[in-house]
Amino acid sequence: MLRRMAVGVALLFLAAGCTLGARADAPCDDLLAALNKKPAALEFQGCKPRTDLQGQPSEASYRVPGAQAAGVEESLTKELRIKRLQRTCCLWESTRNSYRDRRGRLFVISMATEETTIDSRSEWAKIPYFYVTVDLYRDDP
Amino acid sequence: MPGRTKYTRRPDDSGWLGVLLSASRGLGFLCEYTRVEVVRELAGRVYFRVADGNSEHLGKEASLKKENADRFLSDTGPGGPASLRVHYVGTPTEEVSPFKGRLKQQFGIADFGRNHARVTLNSVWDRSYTPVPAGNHRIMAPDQSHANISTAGYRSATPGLRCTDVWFPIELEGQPGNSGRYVHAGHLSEGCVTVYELIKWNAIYDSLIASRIPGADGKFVGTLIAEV
Repeated sequence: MLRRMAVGVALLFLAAGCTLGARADAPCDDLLAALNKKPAALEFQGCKPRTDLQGQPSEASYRVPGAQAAGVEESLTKELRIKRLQRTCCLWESTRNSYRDRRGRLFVISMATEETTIDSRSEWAKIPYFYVTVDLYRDDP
Repeated sequence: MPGRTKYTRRPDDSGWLGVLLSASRGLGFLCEYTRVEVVRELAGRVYFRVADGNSEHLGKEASLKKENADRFLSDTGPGGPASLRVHYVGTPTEEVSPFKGRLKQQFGIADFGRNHARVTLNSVWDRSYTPVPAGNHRIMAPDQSHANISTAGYRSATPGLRCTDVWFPIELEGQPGNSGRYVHAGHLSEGCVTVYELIKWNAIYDSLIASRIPGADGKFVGTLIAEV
């Protein structure tokens, strides 16, 4: 009985933690999974409300190993219409791509590496991780 | 407000103002001191045309809520052109960057106003990258957000560092357009003017972003004089 109660309390705590800081109209969670547009290789790392940014979006963070980054780029290009990554002075990036879902909600998606000397697509596997951020806005600016 | 000229301001430390693009209903991002021409006010929103600069949104109509327009569109435009003078310091030197590890850097000093900052002009030597050549170049207004992920480490290690996603393209003397070299903050340079002394970045940013070369449609913020 005590064990069941402990599990129940733990589940309640986890549920509260998942929505901590989130708003009903801008949930903070695995946003790509919720959109049903998450590439399988992409690893969800967490979500936090960005109260320091204009519009205070919920920001979900992801990463993918370099060896699988081209597939994720392809998927996000097709599903969310992000621009293909470009090489710009020391890094690979496709930043601040805007997307609206069927409900009219506004997302901004970026995919980029840390600074790297790898400047050829054919060598992406040597880059440890590519990072993806997805910002969900509660409202138009 | 319709018919008036306004200039954008940053809403946060990213340096980019998000605006609602009328045609796509998507978000576009404008750097500070972008000139906009207000065309109308309707249903609590202020609509304007992006009137200068190097962004992909030039010429497009966009809007902000009235309260955001009041906060982030200013009557005050940029000042005259900025001047950044860079001179090489010695020859390429091996160093261990706290962020990027062992690198061979062509260090330099950038003078702006009465201020100075240590910069690196190249860190990658086995390919086609070279330090910015001597000459009188021009610094362009920012084109788009860069590196909002890659500069997170610099920001977390340097309290108060801001606007690191705002890079300034360099137009080399005699070669019109963006050379692919930028003035930006960081420790890794592929022929850019990379502000190594991160604590000086805010001052360089403030100096460049609030400046424009007159009569150039907001495309250039000033000059870059490089001396070997």
